[in-house]
Amino acid sequence: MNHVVCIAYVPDTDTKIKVGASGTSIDEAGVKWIVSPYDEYALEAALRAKEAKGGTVTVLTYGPAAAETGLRDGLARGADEAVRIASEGVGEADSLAVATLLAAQIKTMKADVVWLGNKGVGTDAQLVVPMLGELLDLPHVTLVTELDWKDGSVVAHREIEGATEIVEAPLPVVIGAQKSKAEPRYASLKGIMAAKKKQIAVKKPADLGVDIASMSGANAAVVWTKLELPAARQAVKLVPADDPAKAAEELLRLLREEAKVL
Amino acid sequence: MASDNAAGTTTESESFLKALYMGHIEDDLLFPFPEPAPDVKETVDAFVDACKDFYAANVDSVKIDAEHFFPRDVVAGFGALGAMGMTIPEEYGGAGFGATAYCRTMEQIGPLDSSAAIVIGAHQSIGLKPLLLFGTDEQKRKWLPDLATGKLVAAFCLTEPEAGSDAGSLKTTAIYDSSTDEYILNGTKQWISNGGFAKFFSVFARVPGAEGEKDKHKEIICFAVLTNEDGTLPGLTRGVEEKKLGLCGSSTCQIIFENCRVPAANVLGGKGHGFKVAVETLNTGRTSLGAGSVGGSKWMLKLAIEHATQRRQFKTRIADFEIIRHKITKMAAETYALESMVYLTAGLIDRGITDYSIEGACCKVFGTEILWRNINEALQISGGNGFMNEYPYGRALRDSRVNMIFEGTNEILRLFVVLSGMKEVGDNLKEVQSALKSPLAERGILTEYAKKRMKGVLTKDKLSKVHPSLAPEADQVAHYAGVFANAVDTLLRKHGKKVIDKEYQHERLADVLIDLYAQIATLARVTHAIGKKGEEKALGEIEIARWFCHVARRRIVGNLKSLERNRDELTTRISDRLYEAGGYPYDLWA
Ligand SMILES: Cc1cc2nc3c(=O)[nH]c(=O)nc-3n(C[C@H](O)[C@H](O)[C@H](O)COP(=O)(O)OP(=O)(O)OC[C@H]3O[C@@H](n4cnc5c(N)ncnc54)[C@H](O)[C@@H]3O)c2cc1C
Repeated sequence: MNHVVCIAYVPDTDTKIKVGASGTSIDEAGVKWIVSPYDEYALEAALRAKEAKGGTVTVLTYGPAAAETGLRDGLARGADEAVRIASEGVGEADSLAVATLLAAQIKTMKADVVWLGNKGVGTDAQLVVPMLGELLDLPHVTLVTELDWKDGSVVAHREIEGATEIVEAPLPVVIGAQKSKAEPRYASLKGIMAAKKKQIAVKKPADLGVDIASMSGANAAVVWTKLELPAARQAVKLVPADDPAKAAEELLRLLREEAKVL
Repeated sequence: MASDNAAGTTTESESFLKALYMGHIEDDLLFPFPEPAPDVKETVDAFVDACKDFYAANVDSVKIDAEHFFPRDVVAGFGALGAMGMTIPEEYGGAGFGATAYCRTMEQIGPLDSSAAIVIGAHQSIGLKPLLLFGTDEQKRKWLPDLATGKLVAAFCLTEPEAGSDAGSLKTTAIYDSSTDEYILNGTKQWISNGGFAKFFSVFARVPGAEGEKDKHKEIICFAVLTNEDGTLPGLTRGVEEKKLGLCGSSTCQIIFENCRVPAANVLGGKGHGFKVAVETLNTGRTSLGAGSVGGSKWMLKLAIEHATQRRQFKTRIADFEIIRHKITKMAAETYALESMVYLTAGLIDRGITDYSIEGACCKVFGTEILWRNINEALQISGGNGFMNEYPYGRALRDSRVNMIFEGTNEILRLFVVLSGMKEVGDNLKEVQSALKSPLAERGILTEYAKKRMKGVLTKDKLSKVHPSLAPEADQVAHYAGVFANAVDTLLRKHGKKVIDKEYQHERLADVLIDLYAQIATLARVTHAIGKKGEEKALGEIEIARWFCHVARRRIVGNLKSLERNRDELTTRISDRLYEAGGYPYDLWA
């Protein structure tokens, strides 16, 4: 069974985000990048499947050369191969452009399961999984927390509001991984050293026959017009408790009139 | 020792600081300031990230400290992660980290949990080092792979109740039994880190009368003592866990040998070389303690700045009060100087310099004392909060205190950096003296030092490659390096062999040496930074260097002056009276 795991290299969830000078993208100076946490669950599930049933795991990303650090992380955890679709020279790419590029590459590979995180942290669009299903003409399942293997199909547990939905889909299939009990492993130093020796294949959009200029930058279907930080949180308001009865009254008033939660 | 290069362009010694004692500033060893190779940096960054994730999920630092216990499954986890095999060569199953990579990793993970740093550090920096440095290929093949995975955890058994700083006086005996080709060990080792669960012990013992009467150190021999898989070994007993001030989670206990049999094949480094094994092991391990201090200092600086910029008193951020500014600036400048010193030293080690014992000791002394001060200042800036246990300062103080005691106390290391340097100079002085007796001696056979000495001047070497924006600092440092070398020379001539006991002077000289090395490393580093990003972008670093050099120079001047003018005789008389009285004899109300 061959697994392709698509990973996004995103700003660390701990990073303090600043809006860049353009007003439509973030200021990347001093940003630490990580593999999107949901993608880590996807990779973990793929690695466990490989360990149990054999096969290969390939990690795939669309991004700049710096994103190869993310691919190396995947290799260090146990992936066999890595491919980067180069974003150099490409304008802002929306979810459709990314999905188109990933699909074009995946078509050149023999994939039984295409794994992704259910969403990429950062933009949280949750679009690439269904788009990939559509572009590859494959079934897709989102919000997957657990997968059982059958001959020629998979049984997926979907985490939905207040329940678990169990669905079956034939292989090949596109899976959007949700956080699950299978915690992602750590790259060991041995794995990191071995990963250093592996080659990362780099493809340009043109190599994949994709006319990326026609669907990115100003030609993208979705264009970011403005990026804003949420308003700063207000300072804590302390109600003096010298006189408990009065304090309770004041608290009630504030909750009703200012916070409007009562 | 003597250079056989007639042109005299090579140094008498590979060690940068030994050369400094001889009046040389080896510019070539400083410039360009060492940088890690890109692939080393990538590996270390990735590994540090993995470690941080591992710690976040598995290392409950508060609990470890409170329960005085380091969970064994976490030790196993370190093994799986690769943290126990960083310094072991790849061919023996480790990662083959050089000094820079190891230092950077310890810098980054040290502050996450000090007890964990001891588990990892005592294992690699000292425990398995005798095997790594002195083992035969067969011995290495046998044990290093299991040490690399953490299946075997190592401990270093040198100290005894009667033998601390004077380790050469150890009493544990090893008696050879020819009938079984084994040694029989008897004795007690004290305060052994990882002692509670290690399965590989580097043990130092004495074979009485082994190598003649002259040199008692030659009786010392080092063994690899391995327990059975379950951790037991006939004749080896682990003492109870010590109750300690800090590093509470780390295991520290006695290891008691009673007729414990060890195969002769387990001797590390050969008969008669045990003391050398111990000394070299410790000499090579100290730089990383400096690196840990860099990490701790950065952490403290972050906490101090956070607090100082948020806390307001007198309607003002306390950060804006000048006394606080001074504290913060001093913390940062010393951290910068220390970081420069540690990574210059690590870079020298990685480029193949084999004698870095003085440099390593400087990193340890300078680093551990800076960390101690930085924690203290960060605590002070926190005010009363700093005294509360829910803040990290108290524990940091407790954990870092021992740094100034183990791996050679800072007093012993001050003596060490001065006496090792003096030895170099003394050997060369003999040469000068004999050359002066026979004026026809061929000059070609003289060392650089002797030639200069005969001309009557020691160094006029300059720090010629330092960026011009720091020229005054570079000139000042080069000047005082010369004054220092002359001072050592004068002291040696004045006292001859008796110089060994002149500890009042050694302490001053050691502090001068450390301040010189710190400034030199700082200037080399800033020069490199300017080369990389230009003067404008490096301004922050340039000004830190200026600040540090200014303060260090004042200390140096003070110490050098005190070599000549001091109250040392009073110190001796006063302390004599105190010893006599057995306490404070001048009670006002007496
Ligand atoms: C937590 C902890 C872990 C340790 N782990 C290990 C371990 O894993 N393996 C191991 O072998 N040992 C270990 N040790 C022992 C440690 O290395 C010794 O404590 C250290 O070498 C000092 O020896 P001592 O305690 O006997 O002090 P002493 O040697 O008795 O020194 C007492 C004081 O006198 C000073 N002094 C001694 N001689 C001189 C001199 N000539 N001039 C001026 N001052 C002098 C010292 O600097 C010190 O201040 C550990 C100790 C501790 C506390």
